[in-house]
Amino acid sequence: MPASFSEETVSVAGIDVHYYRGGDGPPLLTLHGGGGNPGWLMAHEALAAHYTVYAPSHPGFGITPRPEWIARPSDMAVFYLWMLQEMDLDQVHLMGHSFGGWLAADIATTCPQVVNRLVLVDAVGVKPERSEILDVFILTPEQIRANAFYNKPEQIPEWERLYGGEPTPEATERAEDALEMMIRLCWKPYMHDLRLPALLPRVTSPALVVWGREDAIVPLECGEIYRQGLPRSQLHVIEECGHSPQIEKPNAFADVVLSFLGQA
Amino acid sequence: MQVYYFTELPYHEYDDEDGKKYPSLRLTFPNTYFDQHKAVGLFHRYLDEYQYCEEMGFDGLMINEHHNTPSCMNATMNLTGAILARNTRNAKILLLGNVLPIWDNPIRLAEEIAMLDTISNGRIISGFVRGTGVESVSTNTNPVHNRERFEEAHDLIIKTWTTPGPFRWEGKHYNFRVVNPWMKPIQEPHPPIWVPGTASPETAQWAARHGYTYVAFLTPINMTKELFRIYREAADEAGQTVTENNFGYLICCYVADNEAKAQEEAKHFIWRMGETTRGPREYFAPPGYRSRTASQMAARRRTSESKPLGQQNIEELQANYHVVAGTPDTVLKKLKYLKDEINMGHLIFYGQESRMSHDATMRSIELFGKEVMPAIREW
Repeated sequence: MPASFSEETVSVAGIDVHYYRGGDGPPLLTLHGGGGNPGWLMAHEALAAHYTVYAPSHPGFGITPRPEWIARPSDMAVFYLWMLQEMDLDQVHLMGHSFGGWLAADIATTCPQVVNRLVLVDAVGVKPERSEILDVFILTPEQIRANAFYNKPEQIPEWERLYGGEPTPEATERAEDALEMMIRLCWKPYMHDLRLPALLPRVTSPALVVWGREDAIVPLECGEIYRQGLPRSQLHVIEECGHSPQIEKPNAFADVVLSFLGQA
Repeated sequence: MQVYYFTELPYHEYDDEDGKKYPSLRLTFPNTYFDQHKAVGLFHRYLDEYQYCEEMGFDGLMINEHHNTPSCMNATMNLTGAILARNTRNAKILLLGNVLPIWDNPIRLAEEIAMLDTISNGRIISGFVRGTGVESVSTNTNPVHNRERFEEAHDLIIKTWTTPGPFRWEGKHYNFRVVNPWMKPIQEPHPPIWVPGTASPETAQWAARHGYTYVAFLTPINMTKELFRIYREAADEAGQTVTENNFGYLICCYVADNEAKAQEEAKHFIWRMGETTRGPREYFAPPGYRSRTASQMAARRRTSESKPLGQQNIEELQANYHVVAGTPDTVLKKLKYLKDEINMGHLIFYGQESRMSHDATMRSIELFGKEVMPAIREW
């Protein structure tokens, strides 16, 4: 993969936020899930052909420090609005996966005017009625990994780079920090905010909800709730895919997103 | 040295093969394996054993609390404390301890403990603990805030006991408009506070700064010495005087008429060391529950002996002084060695576990009271 991205920081609310940046064009902010920032992905590369992609590490994840006042996801949503302000970014395409999808939805409901188009990918944040979001806080890392992916490692193009080999002590510590931060933010109520469904109608921009059909962590029902709540939204289900379509099916995923953003 | 009797009020009435089907006996082991009709008899025999300890001259009776586990039926320790407060006359009642972080209303705890102190006419020792991760998860309390909540709840309870009401409390985790409970403890300024520890140096330091008695729970001797050293250093810095009364040590103990019987009964402690502590780290110490230093200390605890506690056989458990068993003479010798090594002022005699019968438990209590206790009194 070409070194088509750079790593930068921006000062927000007194802390330096680390982010990957690549590509050129209108801004696209992508927010990672609870496992931490996976780095520059194939999917980012595909989007970077048309957009300036920003992939930050959330406060408390990776090398971005944790401000004491961030105690819940909505605090982090406000933090990201502040970051957009600091970076002078407006009318961004906003995309988020899993926990990052919750943040994206929270940002969009809090300040709809900053969002050009919204993409939610296997996002938590809303409470399913017929099923449950898997409680990853009492599962071992191995159990979480087993539930996260539907396809076998050899079918996942970036598996080796992302998950192959023994993690370094530093990577282990980062993973521990990420989980601790998730527990800090999402312990109770678990991975949802009862306000969110009521606020979704505020989002006036077009929205795409992408879901892996076989997501064993966040049930597809949550995708349907987002689809129903967001006035101008569509739901696209990727077949034979688990919780992380951008990693399990990067090409199919990028095609769907680019098509939605008007680049097909 | 003073001696306190302890049992976890275990419920070991399910089939062991059933227990092994689950990742842990804690948190998620289905409560369909609990038969409350069997628990009736168990509660009463355990309470009888506590009362007998008072007759045999034990200085105190220790109770504790856990949730979602057959290893401990004390789901609400202050209830058991209330029974002992009424049914005993002289022994101290050692609550070790109330799990501060898991409750949203520390004022209620302050009231309950004050009631116990009053009903018992000043016999309460009020231990405070952080609980294991299982206690956090089962009560759905965020484990990341465990230590902060422990410290704030402690500060609030102490203020409730020592500051005339009404006053207001606006903290980070607790907020109360009017703190003014009618019930206050009879001991002035408040009951003695004890704190147990297994690994976290922060707990030893915190207890030291407050001058509280610190009790090491089943820690290897070398680690106990280190935790006591950490305590002494922190106490020095805080200007607190330290005597042997600042230290306690908990040990599983069985006293019998002969060595063979002692060895047979001591095997009941194995269930507690291994099977009841089995389970994923996510149950016992979720991320954020312990500091990095404490996690490193806990890892060293696991490696400081040739095997982790849960994998040691009964011989190894005895060689490492987690279990002491034998005739009164043998037990005295071993306890003297422990006393010389770590010089604690308080010994917790963990005297019953698993399926140890009522008769066997009573005999051990009797022998300890009549033949071991008199010598210990002189230490």
